[in-house]
Amino acid sequence: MAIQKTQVQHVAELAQLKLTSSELEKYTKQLSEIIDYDMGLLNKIETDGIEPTAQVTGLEDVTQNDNPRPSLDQKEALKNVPETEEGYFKTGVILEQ
Amino acid sequence: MKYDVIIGLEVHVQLKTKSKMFCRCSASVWKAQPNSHTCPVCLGLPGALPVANEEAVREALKIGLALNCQLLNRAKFDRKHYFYPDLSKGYQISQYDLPFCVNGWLEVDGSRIGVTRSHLEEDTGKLVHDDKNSLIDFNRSGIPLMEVVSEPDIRSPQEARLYAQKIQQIVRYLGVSDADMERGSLRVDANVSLQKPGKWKVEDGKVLGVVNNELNPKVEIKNMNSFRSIERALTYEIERQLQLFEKEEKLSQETRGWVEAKGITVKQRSKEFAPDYRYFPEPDLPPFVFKNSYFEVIKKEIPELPDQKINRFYHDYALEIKEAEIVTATKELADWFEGAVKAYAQTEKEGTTYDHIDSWKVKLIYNWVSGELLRRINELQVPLGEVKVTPAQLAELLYLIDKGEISSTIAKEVFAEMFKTGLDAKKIVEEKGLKQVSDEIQLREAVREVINLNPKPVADIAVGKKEAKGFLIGQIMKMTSGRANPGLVNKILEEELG
Repeated sequence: MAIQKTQVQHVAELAQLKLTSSELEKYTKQLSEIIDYDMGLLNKIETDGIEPTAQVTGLEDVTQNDNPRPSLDQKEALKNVPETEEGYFKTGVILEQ
Repeated sequence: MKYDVIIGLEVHVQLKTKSKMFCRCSASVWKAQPNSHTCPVCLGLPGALPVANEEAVREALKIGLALNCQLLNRAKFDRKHYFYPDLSKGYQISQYDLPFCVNGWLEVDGSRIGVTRSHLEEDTGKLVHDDKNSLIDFNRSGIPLMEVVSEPDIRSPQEARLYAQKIQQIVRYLGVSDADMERGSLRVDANVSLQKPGKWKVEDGKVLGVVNNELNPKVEIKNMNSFRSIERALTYEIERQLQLFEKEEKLSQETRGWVEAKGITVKQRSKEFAPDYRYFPEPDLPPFVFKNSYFEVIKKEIPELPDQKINRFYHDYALEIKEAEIVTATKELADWFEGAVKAYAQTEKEGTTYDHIDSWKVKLIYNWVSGELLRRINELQVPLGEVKVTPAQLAELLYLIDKGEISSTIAKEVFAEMFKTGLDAKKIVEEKGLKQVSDEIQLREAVREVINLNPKPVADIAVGKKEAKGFLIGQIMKMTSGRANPGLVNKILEEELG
């Protein structure tokens, strides 16, 4: 199963990475090899009659009661933030309109 | 119109739980200092693990049932990925292919609007923009949010508003959300397109073209901050699309924001990410496996909802549908109204039940509730919960009219005083000396005096101008400060005029 350049480009955009054309070339080849290897392994496994799952713990219905506990205070919440303003996280401008 | 209007709504409702959806930070963040209600989970710090809020799940199922949805026995949470600064983790925990509730419907003004699905997710942080920067407050991040997605069944801006208002009414009846648009605890996005009749169909909640899948583009509208703006924005947008079609210009599929002050929609610059949410099951949250018996328990917790109440008031109390709609606007008002009806029924005879109450009595309560009570509430902007008059006190007031102790005109004056002070009608009547004058000698004196003072109207009546009589009665009432028994005044006046 070969990966196409367009797919790598798409994934790069989702990850907000800018790739040069030689990088695109390189990663397409590498990703194809990785996927081929992994899928090759997976395809050898008998999975008939096995339901797909994203869980390995076998747990179900895990919830907590609706009882609030103390939060971090504002100072603590902002401790590792590069830029703040009046108690807010500060980021570059985002225009909605 | 040459086109069918096709509207679908996404309604987001913030749940009123004490703690957040996936962490136990307090969810009471209204007017709190920015970033004062956060923790590693809702800040999206690496390694923090979410745990679902049991109460939020319960409330989500309640909403589903109230919207006539099917509840799924197996449900789960998924990650929805996108980059935006209000989303700390780079993904939002939502529900994709196995939401809690599917295939519901709501009846709005006689038409049935389908509810495709209703799922639970986490709210995002709040952004404040200025020219140079954007500021982020993560207090809102992680507050439980129920998203209700309608089928493209809505056919007019007015219907869209009614549908959204109905959802607000239902979640308020359930007591699971404040659903206040101004505060953002109820938010609505709309999708609208105009299609040629016969050229479209709906499949799996999507509008499809009949021929070669050709359709006119749809536009998504955001930023509608009130029910009125939902109706206005859609009306504007439909007109805009019509005009483009008439000029044979191209309409593009896009997201537009409603600008309230200008009354227009404007194109929103598209967020700079590829539209691919890469949903996958949230590995940190085990799936849910609900037993039907659990759904039964939830079902029992659902109170009588507006439609059922309207129906019952129509049958049991012989109210008109329109009248029943007015007194069931909120659960509190409906309870108030019903409390007054029951109390009034018992003024006549101890132990009389409302089943036997005369319809004129219900109508009278209705008139007082929809008139005097609601008028004052609206004028003074007080919530019903803070009104000092109790339903039983209104019943007592009406009983005083029935017994002939006060006239209806005076009763209104007494009610105004009750509304202000919360005192009993009886006490106010006594203290202010408002008791009706039914003393015939005393009234006859007043009638004679008025006749003497008003020769012109008296002469008019003599030549058949009946309306002059009303004037005389008015004068008599004035003379007795409105306390004269109107029936008696009328009788005496007839006698005196011969």
